[in-house]
Order: sequence, then structure tokens, then C-alpha cells
Amino acid sequence: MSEFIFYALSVMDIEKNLSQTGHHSLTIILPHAQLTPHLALENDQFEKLAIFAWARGLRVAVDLDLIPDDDQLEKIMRVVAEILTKWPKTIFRVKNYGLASLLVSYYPNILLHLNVEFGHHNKESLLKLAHIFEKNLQRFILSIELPQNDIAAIVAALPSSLEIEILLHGPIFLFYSPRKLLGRDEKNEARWPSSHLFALADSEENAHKNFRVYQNSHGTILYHHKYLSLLEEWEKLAQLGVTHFRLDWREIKDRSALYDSWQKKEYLQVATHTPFKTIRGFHQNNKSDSIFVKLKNQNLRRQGPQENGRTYLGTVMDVQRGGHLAILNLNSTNQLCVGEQIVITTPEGKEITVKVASLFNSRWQSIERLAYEEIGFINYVKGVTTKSKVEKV
Amino acid sequence: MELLAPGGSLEKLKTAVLYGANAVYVGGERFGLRAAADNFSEIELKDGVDFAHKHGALVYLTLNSFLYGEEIQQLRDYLPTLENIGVDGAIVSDIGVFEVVASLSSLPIHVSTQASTINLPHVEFWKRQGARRVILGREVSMAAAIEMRKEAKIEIELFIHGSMCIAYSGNCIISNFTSGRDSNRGGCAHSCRFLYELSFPENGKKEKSYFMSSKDLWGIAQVKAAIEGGIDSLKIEGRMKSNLYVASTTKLYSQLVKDILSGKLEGDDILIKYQNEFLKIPNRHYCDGNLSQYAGMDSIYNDRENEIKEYDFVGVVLEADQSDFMLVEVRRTFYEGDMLELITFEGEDITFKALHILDVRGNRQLKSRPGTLIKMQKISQAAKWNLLRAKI
Repeated sequence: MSEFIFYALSVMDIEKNLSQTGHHSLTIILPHAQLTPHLALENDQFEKLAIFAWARGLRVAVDLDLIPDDDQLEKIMRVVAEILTKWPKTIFRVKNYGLASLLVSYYPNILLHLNVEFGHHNKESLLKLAHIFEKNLQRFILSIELPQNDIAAIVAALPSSLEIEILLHGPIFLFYSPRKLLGRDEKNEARWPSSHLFALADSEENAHKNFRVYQNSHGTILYHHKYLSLLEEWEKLAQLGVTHFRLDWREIKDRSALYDSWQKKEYLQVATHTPFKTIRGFHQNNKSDSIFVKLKNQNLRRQGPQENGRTYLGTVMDVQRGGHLAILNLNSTNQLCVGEQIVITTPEGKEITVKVASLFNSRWQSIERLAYEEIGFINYVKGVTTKSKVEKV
Repeated sequence: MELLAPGGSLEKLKTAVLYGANAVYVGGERFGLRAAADNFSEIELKDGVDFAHKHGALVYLTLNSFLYGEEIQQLRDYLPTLENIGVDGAIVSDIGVFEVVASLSSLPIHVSTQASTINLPHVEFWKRQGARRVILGREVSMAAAIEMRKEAKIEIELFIHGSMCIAYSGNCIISNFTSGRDSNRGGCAHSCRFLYELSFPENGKKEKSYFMSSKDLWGIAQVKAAIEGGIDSLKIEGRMKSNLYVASTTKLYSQLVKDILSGKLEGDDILIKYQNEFLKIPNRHYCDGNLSQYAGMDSIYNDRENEIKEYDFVGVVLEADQSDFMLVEVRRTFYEGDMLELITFEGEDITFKALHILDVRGNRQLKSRPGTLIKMQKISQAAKWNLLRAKI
């Protein structure tokens, strides 16, 4: 059974959630400003909404996605203690393993949603975490970088008792810094300003446009200018085993129309009411690591005899047309001897086979062999340039 | 205490070791975080490990990419090779990778800074999983790192020098969504270094700013505390940086550690002696990051996109044992009469004038050409693999 899960920043959010026939969530996320770097509620607002939500039979989940140092941990644990004293069944949605471990050690029956949005693209990661956090772990919040095939593989490998959540519609969280990067303190250049700030950041570089940048007491976060939307995919994702779909509309001031369109399954209308364009991200596939292989010169790659049947010897360091080639022996276990055959591969991939008729040192004295880390000179070979690779046949 | 330097290529590994590194971290052709670096093939890795071991240094291999499903199987296949080669440790950030390395090999595991470990319970978490060492996030102060070392009783490694991510490491995917390059799999496009126009809707103000660009880290003033506090390893960032950078930073920190241990330098003397030397290394201005206190507004490099560079790498000494010349591989053009600096492995660097430049046949040249070998006057302190630099 799939469930949709919303954030509440006002009573309206809770009421709209409850009024969604067939779509309403059993849990509502209340973001607390001292526990998350994202848009959140100050303590008194949080308390008011928590009372309201629990009174209406909703369970409250609280984002705890800070990356705290030891000083911050103490403050966080104080806030957590206050919340759990009042509402012992509150669920915490934690990102940092250290913090998660600490929570479990203090509150052995606490329920956690592990936020594994950065990294964790393989089932081994999640299986390991499931093993570590065992009975405390209720749910994984998966990465937005995962294509559907990887989601399917991960879900299939995990125990069916674990819930799986993905972002269905909401901002693409790109960057989290502990430094407060917007503005300056007028009186002291070295100090960060203390106020909350918001700015749009625009670069001349392609695609670096209109990032939404928020600064608060936790640092600076940055969102992509588009929203992620998999609204039309949720049924397929549900079939794959995703159990919970998150809709994060905190940045949108007028959320009422969004709820109404969502309720009617009018996904295009949801998009219309969203002030940002939408993308599906890496939902179909993710090839974002393939670029560099093409940039490297495979012709000069050092290989072993098992790869191409030759023994790598070194590199051409100097070429004088009609005169000589200088070779640096970089093979600690092999020498180059007069009479041996070598293959020289140019950076362009041209292969030239030559027999070493004579060898000279830098004083132009004849030598019989070239040892490791020595420079030797052979007769000029047409077509060879510096950086060419030298191998023994 | 270990001084750990970057080995972006076999050549850089050798440079780092010769200039005083106790250990070097390198990337294989897969699973590392610097896809654009000249990463090691298996045969190069073997050579690098043999070279380092021969000189008493260790080699750690980065496996700190966030891996996708099928790559885990490839990693399983790769691990026996790494063990045979004799790598001294694996640097890992993904807990799935951690599990595979721990269960299928006896390689010591170092938890990468990409895991953003900045609190004691997190360090203890990794210790419970069997980590040998934790490389702390750059958000940790030296005092906190020392405390974690004391409390958790696990090896602690700390960045002491180099470029810094402005984000919590592993918590930036700008490149993924703007350039189709996965920043956590080696493809970082350095979007944080770009110039941005910031628009503040609240007051209509606009300003141009490199607001996400961090100054570089230098921890000169913190090395003594690290030694006294039992920090196990100090790390220099920069697998993508030049051979000259590797040589200069490694030598300076190595010398600094020796000076401190021998009691030669105290307090401000350390800074005075070393600051000017560090300024010769390309940098984006220096700050001490979070080592002494939370990085403030003055940790932002708002001047320009690129680093400041006062010196260029002009050559490598290939032969220094001849009686009347040294054989030099030229990396950048310089002219007869130019002032050059020879970076020795230990002790003072030597400034000298290029009295003559000869090609290998002995013909006089007015200038050197990159990609050639030349003969220059012999400098008595020169040794094979010393680097030469010149002021720009």
C-alpha cells in the first residue's frame, strides 16, 4: 500500500492532508528549525502543529538531517529530548550515522527513517545499515540520483518489512555547507552575518542558473532552479516496491491549489501551480560518471604483458629529427639491451617496431644496456614524438 | 606521525616519497574520486607500491566513489589484485564498499573524508565496523580531532593543506545536475569556483561574487598541536595538482615536522620561517579552515576564479651525477640568464642563474623547449628527480 507524505508548515497543510481521500498520509513531517537546514518551523510553531497533528491521529516525523559536530550534538539531543518527552512516538529522519547511533543508545525503542539521499547507490550499503540499525529502522529515504532500475534492485534486496521513500515532487537539494555564504557582517569582515538570507545565484556558466540559496544558522543550502517531478511515475514506482512518496512544497507559498490538483490526480495542474519548471532527473538512467574515460589517452596507457603481450619499458623524452630518440627506462624489473626489438606507440596511436641497433648515454658513449631510471639514446625513428610509449616485444 | 601526500600519477607518487612523504594516497583506474587524474593502471600501482616500500613509505588506494550496483561486483573482482600488489590500505566512503572490502580482503580500511565524519559517535560508529582509521571532515577543529583520537582510540587523519570543498564533503551534487558529471564519482566540475550574480529579492540588491569559493587550507600553525595531540596522519590535498605542488608542499611539511620534533622552532618562528615558502606554491589565498575556529567570512576566496601562481614548474633533473653538467627534462620554456630554483629533497632550495642551455648534443640554445632534454651547468646540491621552478 503506497502512502504519500507531506511537510506541514501550517495548520492548512495538515487539514489538506487529512482531507485527501485515498491519498492522505498517516504521518506528517514537521521540520524543526534547530534540526534541519531546510525551511522549517521555529519552536513555538512546531509545538503548535505537533499538538494539532497528534490530536488528529497523525504520527509526526521530524527531519534531523544536520551533519553535526560534537558541540552541535549536545544542542540537538536537548531538542530531541524535549520532543520525545512530549510525544514519545515521534519518528526521526536522520542522515548522520553518528547521530543515529547516539539516538539509539539513548532511546532504544526510537524509530528512525534513515536519510541516505547522498551516496548509497547500492544494495550492499542499505543492507549493511539495515543490519546495524535493525529494529530501530523503519524506512530508507533513497537518493534522487537513483535510476529506476537501481531502485528496483535495491528494493528487491531489502527486507519487505522496511519502508522505502523517494522524493516524488519537490526541490533538488544540491549543496550543503556549514559556512554562511550570503552577505557580510558590515562591522566585521571576518564574521558571518547572523540573519536568515535568501538569494538567487546566477552564473554565466551553462546550466548554473537561478540556484535558490538559503542561509540560516546551520549554514548555506542550495537548490537547483528546477523541481524534480516523478508525479506520473508513482504507480510504476509503487509496483517496484517503493512504499512512500514525498511531496515537498515548503517553498511554495500558495500550496492550497497544489493539494487540490493532487487530490484530483491532475498532475499537469500540479506542475502549473508550481513556480518552477520540472525535470525527471536521473529517473531513466544515470550516466553522470562516464565523461572522463574519453578524455584520457588510452594509447599511452601502461599495460602489462598479460594485456597486450608486450613489456612496458618507458617513454620517449626527446626527439631530434635525423638524430636521436631519448628513452627513459621506467620499468624497475627490465633493461633495454642492444639488439632487442621495441614497439613505440605515439600519442596518436601509431605503432612503430624497431630494432635497437645501438645505445648511447648522455655523454654519447656507447652502452650495452639501459637500466631502470636511466636515460639512453637510440637512432632517430621517423614519426615518433615525445611522450610516445616504449614497449619490448 | 605520518605525513600523507597525494600521488596523482606514478611520477607524482615518486616525487612525494622522495620529498619526504611517509605515505601516499593514489587512485586506481576505477572507484576513486578523481576521474580526471592520471590514475594508476594495475602495473603502475605495483611499481608505485614497490617504489614507496623501497623508500619506507606506504601507499593507500582510494576506493571512495559512491558505487552503483554492478560496480560492487567489479570491486569484488578487483580486491585480490590490490592485496597481491601490496597496497597498505583502502580509503572508503560508501558503507557498502566498506562491507565488501572488510568481508573479502584483509586490507586496512580508512574511512574517507567523503563520509563527513565530524563527531565522536560517528568516529565510534566506524570503529565498531572495523575501520583502522577515520579521515575527519574538514569541518573539525584540531582540538576536537585530538579529543576524538583520545576518546575513540582509533587512528585519526586530518587534512592539513590544500583546496577545500565549501560543502560538507560528499554533500554536493551541483555537477551532477548541471554538467552530467558525478561529483561523488570523480567528476566534480568545480561549480563552486564560478562567478555568480547574487540577487536578493528582499531588498532588490544584486552583487557579483565568488561566494562559494573557499580559500585554501594551510595548517602550519597547527602541526605542533597535531603532533602533541597524537594525530596519526596529516594529509595534503591535491591528486590533481602539479608535480611542483606535490614536491613543494611535501617538502615543507616534512621539514616543518622535523623542525618541531627537534625543538628548533617554536611559536611564531614556525610561521615566519614557513609562510613565505608556502606563498610560492599556487594557492587561492590561505586560511586555516576550521582548524582553530569555525571558518568565517574571511575564508572565502572572492578575488577570482583561478589560483594565484607565482612560480612555474620548469624542469626535472634526470642526471645529476655527471661531473660537468646536469641533464634536465624541460617542462616550460626558460631562457639563458633566467633565475631558476632547484628544489632540493632536504634543506635550503638553491637559486641559480641558467648560465647556458645546451641541447643533448652540446649545441647552445637561447631558450629551452618543453618536451626536450637539455644540459645545464651542474649544481653541486642537485640530485636525480629534483624539480626546478622559475618565478613567473
